[in-house]
Amino acid sequence: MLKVENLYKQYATDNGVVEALKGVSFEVQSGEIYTLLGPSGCGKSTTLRSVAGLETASSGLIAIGDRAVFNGAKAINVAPEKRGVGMVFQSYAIWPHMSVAQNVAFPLIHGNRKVPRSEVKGRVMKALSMVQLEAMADRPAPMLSGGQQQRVALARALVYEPNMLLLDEPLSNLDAKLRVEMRIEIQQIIKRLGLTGLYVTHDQEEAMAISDRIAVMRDGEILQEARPLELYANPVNVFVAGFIGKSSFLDGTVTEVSPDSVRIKTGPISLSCRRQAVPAAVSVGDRLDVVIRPEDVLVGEQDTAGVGGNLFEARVEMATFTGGRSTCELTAGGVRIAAELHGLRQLAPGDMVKVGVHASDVRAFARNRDSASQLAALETV
Amino acid sequence: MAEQAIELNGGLPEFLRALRQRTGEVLAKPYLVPLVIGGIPLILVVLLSLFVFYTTFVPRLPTKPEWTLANWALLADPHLWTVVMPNTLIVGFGAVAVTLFFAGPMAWLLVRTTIPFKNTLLTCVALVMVIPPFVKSMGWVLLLNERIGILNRLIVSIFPIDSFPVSTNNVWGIAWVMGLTLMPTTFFLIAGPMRQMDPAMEEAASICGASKLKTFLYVGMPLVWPAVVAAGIFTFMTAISLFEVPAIIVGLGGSTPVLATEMFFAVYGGDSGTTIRYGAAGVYAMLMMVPCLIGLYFYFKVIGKAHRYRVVTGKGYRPRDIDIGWWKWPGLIFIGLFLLFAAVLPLLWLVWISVASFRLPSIDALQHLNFGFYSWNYILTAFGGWPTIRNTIVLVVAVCIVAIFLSVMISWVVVRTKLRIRRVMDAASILPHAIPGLAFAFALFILALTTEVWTGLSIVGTMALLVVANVLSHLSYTTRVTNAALIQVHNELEEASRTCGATPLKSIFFILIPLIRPALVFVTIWVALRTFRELTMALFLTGTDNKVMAVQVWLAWNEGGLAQAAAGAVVMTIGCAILLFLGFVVTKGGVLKRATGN
Repeated sequence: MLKVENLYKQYATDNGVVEALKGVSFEVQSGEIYTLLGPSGCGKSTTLRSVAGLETASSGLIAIGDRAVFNGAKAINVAPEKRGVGMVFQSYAIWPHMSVAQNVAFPLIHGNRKVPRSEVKGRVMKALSMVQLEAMADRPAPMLSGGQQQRVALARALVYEPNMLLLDEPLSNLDAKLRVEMRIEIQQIIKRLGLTGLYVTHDQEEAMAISDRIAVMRDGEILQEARPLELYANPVNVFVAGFIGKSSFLDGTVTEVSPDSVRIKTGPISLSCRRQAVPAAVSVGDRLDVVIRPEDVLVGEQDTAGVGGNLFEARVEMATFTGGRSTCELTAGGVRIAAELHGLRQLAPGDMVKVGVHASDVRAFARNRDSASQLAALETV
Repeated sequence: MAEQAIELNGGLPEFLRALRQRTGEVLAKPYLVPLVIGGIPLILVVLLSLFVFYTTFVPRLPTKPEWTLANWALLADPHLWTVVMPNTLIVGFGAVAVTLFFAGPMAWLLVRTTIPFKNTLLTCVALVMVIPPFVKSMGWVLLLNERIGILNRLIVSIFPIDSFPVSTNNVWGIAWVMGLTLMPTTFFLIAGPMRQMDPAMEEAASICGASKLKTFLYVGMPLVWPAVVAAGIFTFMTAISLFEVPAIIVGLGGSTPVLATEMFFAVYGGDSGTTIRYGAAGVYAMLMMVPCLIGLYFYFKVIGKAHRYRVVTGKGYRPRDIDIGWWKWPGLIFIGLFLLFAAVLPLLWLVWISVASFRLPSIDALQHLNFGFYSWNYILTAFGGWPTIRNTIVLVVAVCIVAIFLSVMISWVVVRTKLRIRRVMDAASILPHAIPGLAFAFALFILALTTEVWTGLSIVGTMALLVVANVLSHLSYTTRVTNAALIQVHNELEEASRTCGATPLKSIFFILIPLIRPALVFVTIWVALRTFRELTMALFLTGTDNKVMAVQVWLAWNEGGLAQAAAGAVVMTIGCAILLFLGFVVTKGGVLKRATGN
């Protein structure tokens, strides 16, 4: 349905040329929800806006359906109004000088997919009923809550029945609870109407929940493209691992390599992990970045019973109760590890606890300049 | 990309195809229409400025390829350096001194203290801004002229002296009236930053142990200083180029010449029928424009620096007003004096003269009032008649429509696109700020004369010429307002319209324009007022077919019909008041709220 190939974008600023996109390629199948996920400035919005035609890439190719809407080499660049996509904006972009119904009717009256006047009202009400706002049709648009404005934006994007829906961080201005409700609703509407969705967000949880596939972007490049579960289970590098979840990063040295496992020492801790979870060309003495997710860190005699050799003593530095969960910061000989426990497990700073990690939950990545810059980038995310 | 498309590798048919595609592509660019429409007036602005420079090297009219440096010999004329320039500088600096003397304390009193009747007084200052400069000038001449001024006559009749030494018909009089005229603008330029200053900064200084004076000198002053300097530069620029005030107070070609009157005199020759010297007028125009351009540069430098002195804290606080207690009485008297000088006295006296001629006010005089100048019959016939009124209405309406349409287009390119040329356009749209209306009128006049010689088209003295001059000279002001309005409209609102299938122009007309309508209404009212009362350009470009009301008042004044001119001035002021009142009703008070920054 959507094909983006080798998209490049440079633009000149006062501080020199910025490379916003460096060869972005991906394909979205019909009926799929595809998400571009990454920190701000990674190029995800630029990519989406290039698909919409609101920005013009420097080179590359974009095809919607079987129609090329942008081709740098052939100087094809279809205007946004002729691309026939629906788009939902971060700021909702609801026109405050119109009523809800006028907002939704705009594409049918002024757009290039005009319908006879007599049909407009019916189409508008149908779109509004899709987002459960029929009752608000005559309200002035500014008199709506954020969530309702977002629904109007969605109805306006759907009213002319586009095949493709572009969503640019549509939920980032909503409060946490509404965000969860709306993302389910958006997902259901897209699936029910059989649309193809291109979704942009910086929120990994949102991406996981809504997408069929996710592309993690950084610095104008796609680092990894995978289904949500795959992305969580097998991140390709430190950045992806760190961006999905809130992992601890440990500085480790390989002490032992066997055909199916590798042992890594980090400070006073020695951890074994599966051979597949470390880079292929690893040998004794190599330095690696060890990544452990907080939810994989087990604390206490009972929980750590089955972890085998990956056991160590640690001191609780800080414990924060956040309701359902409580997060703790542990140290073992200067190595800091974050752990997430059930909310009712109360630990106090200064407690000494037994800590364990299953070998299958330990991942390690080659330590080099790339990984260093990725780690630095994660600090700012 | 473009180079590739037009490469000649496929022979001529391929080239033509590529060319057609490329042309289609350029035509499809969303910014094309605004860029072209907005670009035309700006190119004209730049061309006219260069044209003024060019005329200084031409012997008479630039119709033949002749060159001369003779016009610049003017610079060697001692008259210029011993009389004209010193006079002009006195007017410039004098006006700055008068405006700051009133505007500084008044801004502080009305914005930062507990002085009573604040809103009413702020509105009064805005109303003073509306009174045409030539009306104030006439009023002051009639008040304080050494021969006919009422105050002079009164004092001479009371005290045993031959003449009262204080009068307006000298360079100090020009500076005084100029200062009163420009004061409201300066006032609002200073009041804005003063209003937004966080009193906590001053309180912090007091708590550190600084005395009130030191707090004012080291904290308060530095914070509003950029605004004061910028306002001073602006006042100076306007004062040295405003023609109508010196023209009315001291006349043309008299003993007190300033650059603006000398320039007019060089073209129109005054009464004595001296030779017309276009080139010399060009040199005078350059002498005005160069300092103004330098002033503009510093103006924006200071304004740019103002960000460093940011006095806005961004929090939604309301500055506490300083309780001045008993001092409110001297404060009120001070403000009252300003209003008396700038509006009440000159206007009242004009009204008196228009109904009682030069009789001194007395019970007897009251019984002989003659309202003849205010009859419909008189206004519609003697006062220029219907054609003049029609011309005035046409001018005001046309200038408003054209200027606002053009500045929306310019602002759209400047604010919405990332085209490199947007910076040039932004700079060019500020240019009219530094080019005196007189210079615009001069350049257009010469251009029209030249075109007439070349093509036989008669454009001198037409309404069109007057409309163009007004539009161009208001462009800097209107684009400031539309720029600010556009910045406040989120880009995504227009983008949403595009993705909904609307073309770029439809997006501007159905989404953008309705959203910035309040700003457009506001700017329309002020442009209407400025155009309605504009005299300098109207006078310079006047012909038989394009006389407007302001010009008729001037003609009456110049022909010695002082009482008739006074009546005209009163009618003009009433016209301004009606325009403002209409604006007030349409915007439900918004026009004054915006102007006073409330």
